[in-house]
Amino acid sequence: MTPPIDLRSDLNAEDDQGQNWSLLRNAADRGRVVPGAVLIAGTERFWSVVRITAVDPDGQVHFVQLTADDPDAKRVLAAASR
Amino acid sequence: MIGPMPDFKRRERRGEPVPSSAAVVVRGDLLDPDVLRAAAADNHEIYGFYGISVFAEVGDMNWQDIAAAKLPRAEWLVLFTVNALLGAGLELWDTGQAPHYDIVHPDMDELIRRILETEHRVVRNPAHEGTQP
Repeated sequence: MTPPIDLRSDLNAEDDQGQNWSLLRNAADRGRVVPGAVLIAGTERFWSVVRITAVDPDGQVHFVQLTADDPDAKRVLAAASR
Repeated sequence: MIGPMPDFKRRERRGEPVPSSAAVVVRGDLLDPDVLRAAAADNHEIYGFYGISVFAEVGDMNWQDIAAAKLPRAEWLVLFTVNALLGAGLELWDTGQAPHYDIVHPDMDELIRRILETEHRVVRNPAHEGTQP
């Protein structure tokens, strides 16, 4: 089952620090895309739970993927499945 | 009157030689034209060029290592060779941190069309993690 995608992104894309990135305009709810937020990013077929690390003034959003055993990832997926 | 030039971020290039022609270039997920187009447009908005992110076999990393390290959430992988991409008139830029690259063409429509038409294999990701808990 694919949970709702919070931030549409290409999980192949990496910035100069090796983190994934997308654009704020790709968010379902821009207000939730803040540093530290744990969201679901990607597409319906290729997605991951991620933690936002930075949002730049130009709208570039940087994030890292969380591992399956990360408590925050489990919490977000449990909430998404309700 | 010409308006102000857009303000793009400078994309780091590592300055490495192009990988060997037989090296495998891997991208997570199936080739979806809409996803490719959106990714190319996003890349242009930030970095000022049309690019599609991929990873290439460099150093001791083969494509299976890359899949495990970079793409464990992708169920499917698309495998190209460097030779096939360059032969299609596409460029391979060593952007960000190895083994990340961008497939580049100055025209977005041509970029997508050429990627889709370049010889490739679609394989199940041997490192796919499956559904997160």
